[in-house]
Amino acid sequence: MRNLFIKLMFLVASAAFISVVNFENKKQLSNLTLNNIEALASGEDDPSIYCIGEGSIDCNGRKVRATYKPYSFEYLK
Amino acid sequence: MKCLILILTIISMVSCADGHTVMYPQYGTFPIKKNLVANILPLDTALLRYPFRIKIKDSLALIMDIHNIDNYFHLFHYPEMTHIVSFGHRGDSPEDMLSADSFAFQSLDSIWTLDANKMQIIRWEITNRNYKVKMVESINLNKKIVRALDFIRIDNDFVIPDYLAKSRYNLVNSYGETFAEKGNIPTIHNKSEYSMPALAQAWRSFIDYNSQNNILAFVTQLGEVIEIYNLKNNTHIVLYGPNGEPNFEISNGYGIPTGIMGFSDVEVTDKYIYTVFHGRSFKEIARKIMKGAPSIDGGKYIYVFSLSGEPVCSYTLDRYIYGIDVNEEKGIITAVDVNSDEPIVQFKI
Repeated sequence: MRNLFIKLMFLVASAAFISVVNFENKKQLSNLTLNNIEALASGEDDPSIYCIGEGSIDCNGRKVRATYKPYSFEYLK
Repeated sequence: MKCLILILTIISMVSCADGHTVMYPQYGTFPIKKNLVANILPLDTALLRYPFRIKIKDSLALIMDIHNIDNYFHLFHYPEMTHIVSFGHRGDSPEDMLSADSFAFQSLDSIWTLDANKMQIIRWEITNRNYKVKMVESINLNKKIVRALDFIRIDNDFVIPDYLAKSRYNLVNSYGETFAEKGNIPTIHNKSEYSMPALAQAWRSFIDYNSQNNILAFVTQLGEVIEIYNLKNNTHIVLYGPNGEPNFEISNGYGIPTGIMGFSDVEVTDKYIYTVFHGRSFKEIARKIMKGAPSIDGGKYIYVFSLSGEPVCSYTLDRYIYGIDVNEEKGIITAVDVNSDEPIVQFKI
């Protein structure tokens, strides 16, 4: 009985640890993406995204025709 | 053995907490298909550059021009389409607007506008005598909202989807405070694979609400998804079109569109939901721009759905449009065309 109790405690602790690790990972990602959204709103040019043309897609605080990744030459083919 | 089963159960519960996959109904063909020819409404001015939205209320037509050099909003007499006044000056000073993202008539002399870059909703008043426009109220949106994407006003509150996507939309009071968060982005993919803001960028939607039937409709700017919330009986319908949900890839946290340009406007009338659909791929758009080839902007389809989401009619237009105003009683759709020097057109339905 005592052994079972110890095992259960171990399982609960493991589950809690996994949850915390997941939460922290999401939190870090969220901070990175939030910074990028701030850049979207502020109009700062961000080298991680290229904005082309004049249109209705949000890009670095402007509204553009299309956005694409730097060095994404797929579009030029 | 029992212990092993318990371990596996707990680990699977933790790892699959938000990893469910849901399938949604799809629409295919429309029972009625018609071609429509535009009738041009001549303007007495050439000040419009990129007219994105139009709404008509009685004898007034208001146009939102998102790339105008001076002002974002332009008021015209309707149906004469003679220019009355422009407002919403573009600029960096405190009284200027950084961007224009949506607007709504509250009454003939009162208009709400959304400045997403400034995170502000502004009410403008139009004097009846001389049509002077002045800013009378500004609401700073709270920091829980990260870049408002669109808005509609219900009673004294606002419905606002944003880039954070903790929910599908926020309910915000007249002080700019969020008091409720509703719904979720109806992606069929595992949300835990994406950063939610990137998903929200890709799922940017235009919204409209009809207070007569309590229908709140969302249409996605990318891909082809429609959502219909009935706020009276709390039902939610999700419809996927043939092009499916928004496709995107992530670059440093940004959601970069890789699929198609989807809807550009939605209007919920008393009987139907009218949408403007583009359906062109971003690859094609970008390739044309990079090569300096002329690239038509806008959609040449108006899709009409019932209030419960059944496809009713598909109109194919003789030009490409962005925003629409639907007069169901008179059977007229007024639209804006960003490609033409005569940008205001009407279709008889």
